[in-house]
Amino acid sequence: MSEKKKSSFATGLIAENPVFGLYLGICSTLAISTNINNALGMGVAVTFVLIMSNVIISLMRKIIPDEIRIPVYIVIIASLVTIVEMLIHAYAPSLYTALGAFISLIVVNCIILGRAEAFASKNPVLPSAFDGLSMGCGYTLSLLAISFIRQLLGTGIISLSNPFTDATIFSVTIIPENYIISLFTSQTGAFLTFAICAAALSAYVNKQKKKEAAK
Amino acid sequence: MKKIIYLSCFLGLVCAVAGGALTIVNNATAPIIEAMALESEKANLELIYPGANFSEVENTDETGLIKGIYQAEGLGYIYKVENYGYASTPFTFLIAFNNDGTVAGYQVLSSSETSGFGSRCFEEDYSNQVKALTSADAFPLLSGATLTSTGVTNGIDAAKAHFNNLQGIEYDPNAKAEAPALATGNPVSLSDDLSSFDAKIDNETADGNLVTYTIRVKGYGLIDPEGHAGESGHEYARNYYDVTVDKDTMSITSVKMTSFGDTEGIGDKVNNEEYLALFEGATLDSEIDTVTGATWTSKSVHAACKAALEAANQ
Repeated sequence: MSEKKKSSFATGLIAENPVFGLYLGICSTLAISTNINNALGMGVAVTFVLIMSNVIISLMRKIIPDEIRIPVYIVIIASLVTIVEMLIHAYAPSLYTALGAFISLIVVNCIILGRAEAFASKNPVLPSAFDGLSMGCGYTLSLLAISFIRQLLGTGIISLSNPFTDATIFSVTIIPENYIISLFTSQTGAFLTFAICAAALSAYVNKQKKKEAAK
Repeated sequence: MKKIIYLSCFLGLVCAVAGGALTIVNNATAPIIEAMALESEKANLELIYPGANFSEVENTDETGLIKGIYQAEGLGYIYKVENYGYASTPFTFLIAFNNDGTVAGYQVLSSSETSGFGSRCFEEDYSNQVKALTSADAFPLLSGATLTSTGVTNGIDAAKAHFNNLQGIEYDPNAKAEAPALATGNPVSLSDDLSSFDAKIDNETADGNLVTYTIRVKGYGLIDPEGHAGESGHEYARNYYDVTVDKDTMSITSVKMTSFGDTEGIGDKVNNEEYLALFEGATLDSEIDTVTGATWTSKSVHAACKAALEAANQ
């Protein structure tokens, strides 16, 4: 992996983290980040769609007429999302029930159209795929961060189960039931957690920038 | 112009390819999804036909109450019904008919109906009644659980319609089960304080010893626990009774409900000849039963009788 690629991967995770840095795709983030399982499932689904749409759009970037590029992107993205939705419905039904309408709503997740327009339509296939992976991981990590905090404070239990069989992989009770803050399982908790995470990231990025300026 | 045609063709081509891809994935996943849906239902279906081979049947129900129809191979059909009773969340139950039309099973899956009232529709007594019937019968309502049992029987009726149509069984879709026997109990004495019913005599006509009083009484809507009845300025519907008193014996000879203002389907059970006949011969210290599930309206009859006897006494 070249130095440039490494740094651009880190960009997607930290400085240009799609959720906490660019504030993209917050709607679904807030809605489904109630537990780690949902976060992971949603993250993987979005990452898959991101990589695939970036690859396809990058392959077609020279033949897509400029006037109708947005409708073409949307058709591609919508088809990919529908495919993902059908696959999740068939092979991970409990995840399908938990995520509900938010799977279909990946279509309107601005991260995907944003990356298609800003990156994949101007770059070759490999970097585009890599960009999709980096942004997808950034999104997944943000979701995991929010849902970890919400699940921990709201239910006191951190657990993970296999979405294909529903078997529990592990489940640890960290906070006793009497000390949990159920506010965090509600939407208010989602906003609070999101704001705190975004503030923390932006504080970190600012500090880094100052350091660099001092150099 | 050429450009527009080119753009349309390009977009059309992209859509066609996307559609083709979707068809392939859909063909691959649809059977799995269907099998999964049946699998998740199977645990419930096994409650009725253990170990049977189930397959889903096309749901042609127009009432919207039937949520799923399953055939148990060689045995019969199971209908999953969802309907509303009294509670704001619907209840779900399974009703199954054997191929010969007899009820194979009746099983509640979820219900938040009031315990002791609507919940009786899903308890042993009622389910035994249901299980003794066939798809050509009318299913009974439950006194004191009118809303829930209406919801249940409407659901069963929808299942019956589908099943009888499928099996070619002739039946009368408008048949009504006999009204359930009136359940009475919890006697109330006419000497009790019934002033909260505010019985007012509007008219009296005398015929020898017999005096008939036309009386209006507050019903259920007006019982105000704080005692501020009427302060809000609302006009409430009332129940009207014609009460005839024999002045010689100071007892009641007949009670008739002439107008009814209480809850339909609940209080109107009181307007029953058999029940009102209980008041015949009543004097000021008689104790008379109330109708189960319609206590307030029943007590409005007590209040009317008390007012008539007191008026006759003067």
